[in-house]
Amino acid sequence: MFLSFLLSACATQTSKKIDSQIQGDVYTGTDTVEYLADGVPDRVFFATNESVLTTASRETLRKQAAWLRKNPEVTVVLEGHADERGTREYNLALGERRANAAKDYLMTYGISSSRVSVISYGKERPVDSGSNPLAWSKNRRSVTVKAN
Amino acid sequence: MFDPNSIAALIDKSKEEQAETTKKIDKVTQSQDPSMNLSGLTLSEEDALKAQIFGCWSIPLGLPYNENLLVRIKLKLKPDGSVIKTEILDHARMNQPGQAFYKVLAESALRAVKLCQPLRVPTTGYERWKDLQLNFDAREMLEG
Amino acid sequence: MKNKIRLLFYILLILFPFKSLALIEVDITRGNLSPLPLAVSSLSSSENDKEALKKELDIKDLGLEISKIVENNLKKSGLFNPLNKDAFLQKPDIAHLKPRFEDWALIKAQALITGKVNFQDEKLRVEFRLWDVLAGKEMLALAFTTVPKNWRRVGHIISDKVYERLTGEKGYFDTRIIYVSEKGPKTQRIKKLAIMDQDGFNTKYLTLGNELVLTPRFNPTNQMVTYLSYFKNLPRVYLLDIETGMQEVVGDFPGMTFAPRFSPDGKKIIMSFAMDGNSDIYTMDLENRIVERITNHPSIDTSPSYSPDGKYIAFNSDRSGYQQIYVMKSDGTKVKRISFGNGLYGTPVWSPRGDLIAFTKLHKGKFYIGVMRTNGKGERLLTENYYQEAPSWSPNGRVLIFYRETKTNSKGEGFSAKLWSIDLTGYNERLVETETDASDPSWSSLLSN
Repeated sequence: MFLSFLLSACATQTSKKIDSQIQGDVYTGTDTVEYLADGVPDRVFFATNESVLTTASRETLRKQAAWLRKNPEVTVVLEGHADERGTREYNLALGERRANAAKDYLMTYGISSSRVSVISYGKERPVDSGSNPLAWSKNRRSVTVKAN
Repeated sequence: MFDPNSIAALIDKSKEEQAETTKKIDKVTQSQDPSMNLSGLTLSEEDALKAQIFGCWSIPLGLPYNENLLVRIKLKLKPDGSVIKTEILDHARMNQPGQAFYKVLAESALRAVKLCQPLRVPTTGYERWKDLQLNFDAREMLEG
Repeated sequence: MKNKIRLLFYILLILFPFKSLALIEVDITRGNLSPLPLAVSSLSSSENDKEALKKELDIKDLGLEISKIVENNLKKSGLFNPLNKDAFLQKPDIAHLKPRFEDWALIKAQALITGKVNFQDEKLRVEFRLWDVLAGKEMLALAFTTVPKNWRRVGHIISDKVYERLTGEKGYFDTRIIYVSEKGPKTQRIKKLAIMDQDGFNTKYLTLGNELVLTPRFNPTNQMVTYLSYFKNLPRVYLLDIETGMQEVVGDFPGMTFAPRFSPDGKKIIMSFAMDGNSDIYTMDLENRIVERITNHPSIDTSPSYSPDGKYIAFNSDRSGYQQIYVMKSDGTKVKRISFGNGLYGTPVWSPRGDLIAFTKLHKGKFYIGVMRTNGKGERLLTENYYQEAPSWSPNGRVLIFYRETKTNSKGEGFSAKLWSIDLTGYNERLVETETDASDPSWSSLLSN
């Protein structure tokens, strides 16, 4: 009795660990995240086939906008990506749409469009080569990269 | 980069002799009197013959299944079932342009007859079946 | 008296209905669906010619090698069963002059291919004959003269002629495949444009792998290729002349252009242009450089493909909320959704015959290659896998080539991408051998005739 309780507790913990990294199909973990500056994460994540920014994504982008305002000489490239579960050409368009969603948000926080360029890699440059929902969620992303 | 010479020009189709198909005179198909249909093969006789030819006929796999491709062959048989003469009833169609599929099917049917002979014919009633018509129709097979 | 004779006549007619007897008809509606057994004899050549050709090409028995190309092509078509040469009873040179049909019938061959190879005036001369073994007659005889280094193409052309004579439709063997060669880890793939003969020989690399390249497609004459390159990190559609190696950006777009294809007359390139998060379809006329916008919709419109007559364009769009296939007139009017099944539909490609559209479908975590009629009816799924997409038609519209990627293990290892082909019937699925991993195949039209 006691043993079986332990086992099931164990099982729920593992699945909880994955659950805690994906919420509503969007990656919320920090494994792959790099930082543009202290406290300024470089990327935001998306749900399957979506380009809508989550609350967390908007918060990240506001931090990026604040950092860009403080560093007016910096220009950035927003790299849009998709997971491997789509056709190549559609994914190129989807990556472009995601990067632009991030760009539009930066612009509403006062960043000039001339400082932000956009490139889509579609499914060509995954960060996680896994073939599972967690890996795919990490790959559905827009990454802000310093261009100068 | 591959060969910039236009290879199509180099390849000289110097000799393009199409096989001569044996020319037969098309005969007018006999008209049939529906009241005479009693004189066919019995079911078991027909089944034996069919089963034999099914095994001999390699259906050309590339054929389209949505075209009207029925090949009718008239046979003249010896009492032992060997074939004296074959005649394709729409023979003119064989060498018409745009009838490549028909020709391919007709040739396959002729091969089937050749491969199968002597045909599994009834032991009696030669007069009844010495002239026999086979209708080859692959649609059912190609659809499935 | 007269009446009696007439009566006798009627009685006789009933008892012995000779001429007026209905001809017995038997319907043959079933047969054997296995590939046609045929024999491909080695092409014969004199000792002198053999010697000269060995010097020229470093091949011991060219006639034998050409016959192997033919065998391999016919076998891979799934329609023919080339018999083992060990069983052949007649020598190649004699068979070519006058086959002993009984000998070939004995080993169950229904057709026989024989031939002869000469080397004269620095030219390779190859003749071949196709025989109907059971009818005991010649079906086809042709001869070709070419430069010796084209010997593999001679094998392919013979295969095409035999295929056409025995099936009634054109072959697809004297063709090439352009594709993307892949190497390296999944997260950092190195991709190059590559071209090879349809049977995997004569691979040539057209780019060095310094930048990402995707989705190459031939023009109708197979001399030009349009593809996507990330040269200088600017993803744009390019045009490459395979013969000269010259390349140029297609159009002057202020953003990513992608998903290019030629129009059936080769005069235009159709592609997507992405700007501010929206992808629409454009064409550029290669002669006068005029750019036309074909779709104008806030959704993603991409993967355009013309009908063979140039009058219509199939594409995929997520304007309904999900990726689906649409058909419109080539000026962008009369847009009509045609895919209504469960799941997502993409990469429509119009068949060369014009009656079908091949596509990729994603449903419940599986990828399918399928075909449907141009009005969306009659959907048939040909193959299912973890990931596969991007079908391209053989020039006769009978075979589809596409690429398939494998699922990685829990450590993210074991990734591969390979080319596969499958018949329109859904049978005869085959791996297409490539030197490296490969994706995005595009099938050329027939190089000769």
